This record gives sequence, structure tokens and C-alpha cells, in this order.
Amino acid sequence: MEALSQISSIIHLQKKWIAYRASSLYVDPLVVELKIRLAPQEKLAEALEKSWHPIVSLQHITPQRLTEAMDYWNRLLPFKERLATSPSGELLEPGSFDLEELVKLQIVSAEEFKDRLNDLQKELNERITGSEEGSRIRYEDFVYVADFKETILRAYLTTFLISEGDAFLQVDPLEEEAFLTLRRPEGASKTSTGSKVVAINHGEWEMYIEGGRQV
Amino acid sequence: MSNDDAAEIQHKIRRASQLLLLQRQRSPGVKGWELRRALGKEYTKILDVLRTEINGLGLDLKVIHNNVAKKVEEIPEEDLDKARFFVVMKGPLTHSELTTSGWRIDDLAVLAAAIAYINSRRGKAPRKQVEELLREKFPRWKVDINLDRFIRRGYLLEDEEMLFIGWRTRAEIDQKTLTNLILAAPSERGSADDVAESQPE
Repeated sequence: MEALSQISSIIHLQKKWIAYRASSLYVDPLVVELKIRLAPQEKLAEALEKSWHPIVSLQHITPQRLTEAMDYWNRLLPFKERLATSPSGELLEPGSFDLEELVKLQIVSAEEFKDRLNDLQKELNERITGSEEGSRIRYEDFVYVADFKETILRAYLTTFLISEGDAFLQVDPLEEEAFLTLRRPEGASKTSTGSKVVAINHGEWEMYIEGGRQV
Repeated sequence: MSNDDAAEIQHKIRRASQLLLLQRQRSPGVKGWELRRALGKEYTKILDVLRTEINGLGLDLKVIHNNVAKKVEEIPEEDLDKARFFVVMKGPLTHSELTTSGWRIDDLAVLAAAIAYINSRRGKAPRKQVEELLREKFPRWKVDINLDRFIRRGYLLEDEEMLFIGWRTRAEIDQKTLTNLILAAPSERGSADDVAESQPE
């Protein structure tokens, strides 16, 4: 029975291969490679020019954005004055605080942070289990809420869940969509320590919320 | 149709063209859910009207779903939200238009060769093989910079050291025409017509 099943899958693959070779798109790979190696650069470029239908897009500034920029410019103190307000007299580069420093500065308490993290993890578990797919949830669907500050906080806490291994981030490169899962995505290395950037900006958050997809 | 209805449709067509043409994010185009939100449930009908209008201007509307260029009616309704819509030039650009748009001839040659090579291998090839082919005519640094740039822009896709045809190539480039033109191109080292003729029927 197993042998029959294997023979049938071989025949299926052969059928696919024959169909592909018979299709109008099939060209012998070696012929193409040889032609690429032999053709002058100009002819290759010309071939692309004749088969290319570029995407059309515009980039322009709106009068409203120009007004905002003018307001910003008018309000901006001269560079020397801004330097003078810096305690060290030097312009400080943007830096970052880790959790320990935030606790020391009494901006957050360690207890409060742990509670929020636990609540968020519980919510993530429930929402993934209850999601349509049952195994993952779109990053935006989980992190975006009606309040922008709360959205940023949720994004921040979610990074902790991911770095602690309580959740995983799966990025679909084709759709440019990020998903949160509870299980390590297939093919992801257990030892890999790569980082992925998921940007959140106010404009996209606003579009999402206005689109009626808020949680 | 009342005047109000006609005015509303005109308003939606204008809104659709703004959404499709104005680049707001790094990647061009608009997702189906954004169009639905802005134009309403029946947005594909608005897009049909828009397509007719822009056709007269030498432009066309394209849709990419699951990395493949498709017609709207070929995409299941529940998947339309994820499809990406954008406007493309209906005909190819002239050489001078392309040059003034910032593409150098050698960059175009690298892209043409990479796409034709990957395409002839059923849409995927190891990056190393593509690099080796391109290095025959271009220095290593140029090959690396260009391949990375084409991956960033969506013309190619890289996964586990394999290169694939990207969504943008499927949207913008008529791959069959490209391959045929490359096969018909004269050789640098004398005529290579015999090579093209050896192509199996």
C-alpha cells in the first residue's frame, strides 16, 4: 500500500514537471544562463526596459504639513540656546533606559510591571486560543487599542514576553505582516537571538483604529 | 442615478486615486482593507471605474495576492483585505525616462539577469549561484549592493540563502517578454542566435 502511495506521488510530481515543461513559460535554464553570460549589459538592460511597467506613486507635501513644519521651525530654539540648556553643555544623544533604571527612578514599580506582564500574557493566551486560526494573532490586532499611550505600553510589554520566550514573533515577508504565536514558528532556531523591528507610528495606529479594527 | 449618487461616486473615485497614488509607507500600494475602509464594502466596483479612467492616461490597476498578480475576480472575497492594489504604467518606459528616473544601465542589467535566471529555475535559485553568474560581469560589491537593494524594494525575495521572484517583479515586469528578449539578444562575443535556436520546441 505504501509502495503504491509512493508510486502515485512520483507520478503526480512527474505530471507537474511535464505540465511545467510544456507551458509557454518554460525555457531551458541552461539556455537562459548562457544567453545572460553572453549578452552585453546594454542588451540586458534594454530587455528589462521593454518588459517593465513600473508602479506609479507620488510623493508630495500637503499645505497642512508645510504649515506644521513652519510652526515647528518658528518654535525651535537656535542650536546654541538648546546646547546651553543641556546640563553638560553638550547635545545629548538619544539613549535608552532599561527596566532596572526605570524602577530606580520610580517611574514604574517592579511589582506593577510584573502584574501588567502577567495580565498581558494571560490575555495573549486567551486571544490566540480564541482566534480564528487558533494558533496566532496579528500583532496589530493584539497590541493596538483605542488609546495610543496604552498601545505603546502594550508594544513595550509584548517585547518582554517575546524576549522571555513566552511568545514568538512570526513575520510574513510577503504580506509584511507580523503575528504573535505561543509556539516557536516552524524552522526557527532555538538558539537564534535575532531581532526584528516592528515600528509603530501614530498615523498607522490612527488609520487602524478609524478602520474599526480596534480591540 | 441621482446627482447625489453621481457626486458620491466621483468623490470615491478621487479618494481611491489618492490612496493608490500617494506613497504613505515604505512599500507602494494599498491593502484591500484600507480601500474597503475608505470607500465602503463595494470598493472593487469603484476600482473598476477608476481603472477605465486611468487606462486612458496610459496607466493600469494591478492586484497582487499571495505574491502573484491576479485579477480581482480571481481572489476569494475573504482574501481581498490582504491583497495589495497599485497603479502601474500600462506601457514600458522609454530609455531616457528610465535614465532620468535614477536607474543606471548596469543596475538594470543586474536586475534583468537575476530575474531571468531565477525565473528559468522555476522561480527560485541559491543566492550564491545568482551572485556567481552576476560576478562574471560586475564587481562583487556592485552585485552585493544591487541584490540587497532589489530584495529591499521587493523585486527579489530572500529566504534561507535562496532567492525568489518578489511581489514587485510580478507586479511590474512582464517576465515572459523579458525572457524572450534576453533569448533574442545578440551575443557580446559574436552571434548567439544559434543558442536561441537550440531552445526546445
